[in-house]
Amino acid sequence: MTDIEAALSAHVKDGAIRRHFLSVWPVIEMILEAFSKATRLPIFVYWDGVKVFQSSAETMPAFCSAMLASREMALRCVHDGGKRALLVEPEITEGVQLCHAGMLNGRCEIDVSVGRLVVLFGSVVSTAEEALKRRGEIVALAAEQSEAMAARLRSSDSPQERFVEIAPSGASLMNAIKVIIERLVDATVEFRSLTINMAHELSLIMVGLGLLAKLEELEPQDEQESKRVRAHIVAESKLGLYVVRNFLSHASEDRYRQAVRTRFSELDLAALVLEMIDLHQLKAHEKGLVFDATGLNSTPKIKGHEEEIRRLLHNVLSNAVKYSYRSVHDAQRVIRVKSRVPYDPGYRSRRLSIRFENYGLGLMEQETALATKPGFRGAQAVAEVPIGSGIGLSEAHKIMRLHGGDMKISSRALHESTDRGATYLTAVDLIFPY
Amino acid sequence: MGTRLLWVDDDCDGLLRPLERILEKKGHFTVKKAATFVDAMRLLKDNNAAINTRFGALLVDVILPEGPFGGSLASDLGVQFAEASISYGVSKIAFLTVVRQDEIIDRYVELERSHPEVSFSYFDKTTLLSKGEIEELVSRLNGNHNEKGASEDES
Repeated sequence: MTDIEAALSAHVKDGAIRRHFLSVWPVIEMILEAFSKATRLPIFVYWDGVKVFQSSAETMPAFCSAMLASREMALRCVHDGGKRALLVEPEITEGVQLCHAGMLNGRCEIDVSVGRLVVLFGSVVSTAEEALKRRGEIVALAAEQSEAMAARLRSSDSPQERFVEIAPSGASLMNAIKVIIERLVDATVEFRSLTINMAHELSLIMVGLGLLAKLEELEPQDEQESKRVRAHIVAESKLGLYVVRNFLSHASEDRYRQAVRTRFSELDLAALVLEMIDLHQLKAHEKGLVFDATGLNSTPKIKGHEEEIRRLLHNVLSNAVKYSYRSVHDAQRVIRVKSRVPYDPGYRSRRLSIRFENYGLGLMEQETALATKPGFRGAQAVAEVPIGSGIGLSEAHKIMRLHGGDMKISSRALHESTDRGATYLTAVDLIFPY
Repeated sequence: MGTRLLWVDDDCDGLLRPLERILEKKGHFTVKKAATFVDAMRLLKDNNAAINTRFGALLVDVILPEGPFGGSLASDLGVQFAEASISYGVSKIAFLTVVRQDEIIDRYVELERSHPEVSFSYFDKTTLLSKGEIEELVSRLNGNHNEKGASEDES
């Protein structure tokens, strides 16, 4: 098993996604190798502190080449890289670290959808006091094992190679490479992952509907039960169609715009909220959740696209239901929906908000800013809820912008449980002009 | 009285709920459900005291939440649970999942090799509605080894 295969196995549960990533990985390696050769900056790439890529030796400064020629020293280099990748070794300036042998190294993180790669690039020989001290320590360590090795290191610590910083051209080129790799992964692995998730979600809905029909055939129900089953089928079909609309919108914004043909009209927002809550009642009930939507009556009418507002509300409510849970079996969880009119008195235009609050899985502080990034799912969600494409909130955000509004997401850990992680109060504010 | 069947799936009370009644009706099973690994383990233990309350068959998803309020969703928690259930007397195990069999084939083959006394089978949720598939599932959970498509009671 290669290093990257081992890293993927440890971090990515879905075998199909692992295979998709591995099909793109050689391209990423080619890009990094080309960058390394063009700039003569060596590159090491880590995944969660484990090395998954190392550029060829020809780009290494002489001191590094001499170190990497010794197995013992090479292991020290890889171990030190892991510490820098995990920021155990702090940055001396933004994006720059000093390695154990006193070399300046750039550090950048690349979001590859299924995780984050940390790229360490550079190995520019630093003449700072701390750097000289570290190189001296390395030479002393080498001398303990082999005087010949120590002599090679001393002779390769050439004054001609000494610089004081990583060239800005190298750093900006690395930044461009980072963007290229992120876009490449977005268009390949990310999109496939999203497609698989959508297929998973839809297939479950369709299997569920088919089973309902089979049961009806097997065990004819009385009129009242049949009516309930039909209502269930209609509700699930509607929910499935929102999944499809989200995917279409995400896959091709232009095509979607043509399909939905933006038409605004005066809307009773409170009525739409109640209608969509009703659609989610069944799923909420299955999880022991109830909605509290008191206090929506005074919500003024807004101008909006009715179907898009329904999709927006679906996306927010679907998350609230999906990520709510009960801390004990008999507890009842409440999803609160309320309006705030005006939302922010004194703002340059009048705005109202509809706020959705739920208790359960949430977002860590550093994840909240990423919540509207297409395909993003919080660590708790990924770990505990198998179905989810990560585009619900990004689509909701898009719809809010279409309406000249805004969306605010907050997630606050209420109490930390030692073995189960935190319970969060998550709130989504949909802020509309009116 | 039919075989006591433990069905473990995080969606057993959701979209897949009608399957419970179908299994009861077609396979004459007494079905108990659990949505998580922890709940399923509790059911196994609680029903282990007497022979007539033990589970004879298990229907389980490969991916399971560990507990109802958190815990990791290990990629093969269902396989782990299946293995654990054998020591509680379960002798017929069917996986019902959207995880392709090749994803866990090594674990599956290892299970079959280590427990030749147990009948294992594998069903894909996305083909569950295909002709004869539910009947085949029922048949395997009842300990029959008919090939898919073999004649089954359609009633």
